[in-house]
Amino acid sequence: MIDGADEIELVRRCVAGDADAFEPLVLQYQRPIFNVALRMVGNHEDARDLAQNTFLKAFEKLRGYDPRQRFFSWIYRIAINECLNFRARRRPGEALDPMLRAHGRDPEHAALAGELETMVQAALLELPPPQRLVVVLRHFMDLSYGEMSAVLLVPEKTVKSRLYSARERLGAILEEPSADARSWAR
Amino acid sequence: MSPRAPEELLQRDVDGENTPEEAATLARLIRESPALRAQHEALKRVVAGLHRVGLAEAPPALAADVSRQIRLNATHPSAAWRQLQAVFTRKPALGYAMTLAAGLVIGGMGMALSGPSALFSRADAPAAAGAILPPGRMQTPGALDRHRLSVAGIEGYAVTRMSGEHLLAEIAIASGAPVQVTLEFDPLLFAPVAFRLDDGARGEASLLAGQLQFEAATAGTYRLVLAPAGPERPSLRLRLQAPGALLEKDLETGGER
Repeated sequence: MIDGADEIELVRRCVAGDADAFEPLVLQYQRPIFNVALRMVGNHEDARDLAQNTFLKAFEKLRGYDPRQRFFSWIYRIAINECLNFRARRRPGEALDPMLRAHGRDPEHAALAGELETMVQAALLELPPPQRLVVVLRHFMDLSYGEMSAVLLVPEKTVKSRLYSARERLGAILEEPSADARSWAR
Repeated sequence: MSPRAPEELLQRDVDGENTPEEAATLARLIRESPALRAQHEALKRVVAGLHRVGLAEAPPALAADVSRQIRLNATHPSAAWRQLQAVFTRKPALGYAMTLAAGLVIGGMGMALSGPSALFSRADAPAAAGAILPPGRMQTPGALDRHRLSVAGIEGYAVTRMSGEHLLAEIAIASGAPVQVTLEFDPLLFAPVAFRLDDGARGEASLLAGQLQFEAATAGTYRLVLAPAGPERPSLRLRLQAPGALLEKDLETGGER
């Protein structure tokens, strides 16, 4: 685990020409960045490409990184922009894995197959991107409201409001198919 | 302090942020309002369900691939190259299409020479200039076989996959010194269709009966397209040679052996 001071030192070394210093930063953030991408696009292969592009862009932009801000906020924002740009380029529904398209809204099948993740992922993809983002940052990245506000560059109040709407809508989506849908959360 | 709205108390409750006083207020409101109780239950179910979905592991080679790509970028500093690479990263289908088109052009020229051997020179391959495909693309589902190539200063990947009726063998190499690459296949069971070498390749690629040879420079991606004669598809033999380094791999082709 690298702390903030170490991160800044690694960035400084990268900017000075030591490209190898970037690898510890990738190792530190590869899992959260990959998970942000995965939950935003719902597809492992695309998430992998997005995570890779995030790190490559981050490396290119390191000179512009302001050490007064937290590194994770900075790199999360790059990842989020990558994801949003990717979504904008995709046609609706194209990002879904075939498995998600087939079973994402079928609670019985998902329960039988032990695919809670599939159901949640399919429901997440039905949320508008700004709502999906706050759910991902809060529930998968475990960010506080303050941290989410810093990453998304919006006031905390907006974050809370979006998250409330997102959770409400997520509940409606997951419970929509039938009363049995409640079994997904038990 | 002004009293919080019921919705805010609900949200703070599932986030574990209510003070004891706020929790007591919420409990009272819930007792008084079945609608609020239902809302509270629904919210708790959503949060519980989200908590049960864990984090996925990062792909195992992600960090190594990022480092490799950074090294490749460092060896190809031209902005045009980076732009081209970015296009192919964003639109891999375009990359594949251009690669295949370039390969078919070169392959057609090679086949036109006929006879037991054909020689492809760099001068014959103007359409082969292009981007290096990102290593991540080599992990796409559908790969028949995939090997990491790692020996004495050579790093890279080799992957085989079917594309329609054709077998594609892709080799990506990053090395501190030129590497002699040999790819052997059964000439009775595979007909060569095309070979693509990108800007990283030097000199010539020679295609003899059942054997492709070329010299890989410090970084590059190479692709051989073969047409299987039938369901019997034995593995291909890949050999990398550099001063002080020898690496051999059998690449499965997914057919009967």
